[in-house]
Amino acid sequence: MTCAHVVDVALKKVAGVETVEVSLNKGLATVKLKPGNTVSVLQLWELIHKNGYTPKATAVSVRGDLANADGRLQLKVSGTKETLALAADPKNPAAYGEAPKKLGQTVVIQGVMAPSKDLKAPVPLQVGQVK
Amino acid sequence: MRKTLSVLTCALMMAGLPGRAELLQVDLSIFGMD
Repeated sequence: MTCAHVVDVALKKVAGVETVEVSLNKGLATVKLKPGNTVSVLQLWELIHKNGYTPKATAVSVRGDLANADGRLQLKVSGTKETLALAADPKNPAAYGEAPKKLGQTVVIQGVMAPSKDLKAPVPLQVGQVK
Repeated sequence: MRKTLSVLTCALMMAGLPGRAELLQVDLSIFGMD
């Protein structure tokens, strides 16, 4: 059994995961998720780590409600207190600057999340694109 | 019949709930063995 296969199997066991493609040559695991899933990036990072790999910067596509809390943008889960903090992407700060125009709307954000040393610690989603 | 309708209504409401934050796709960079 290859290492890639172990990661592939572990990710596919997560409830809400639709498809998984792992390429150790590229150092990349692409995970597509089912509608209505409750999977978090932190959860996937911990799983990768448990299987002997170090998760790095992660490109994320996520849907939610744009909200403003004390001047900071958040992506909010409807009907719960769960939120994902948003931050500007140094490579494309304009996308974060444009985001307040869509406050209160349901949007899809494409961005990057970089894990901290403590994989359980929440990290902001750096906004690359808001649709 | 009433129960079936309420289950169906509930399912439709959940499917139509706006603003549910959910991951659509994740590209995880995995650096290498620890």
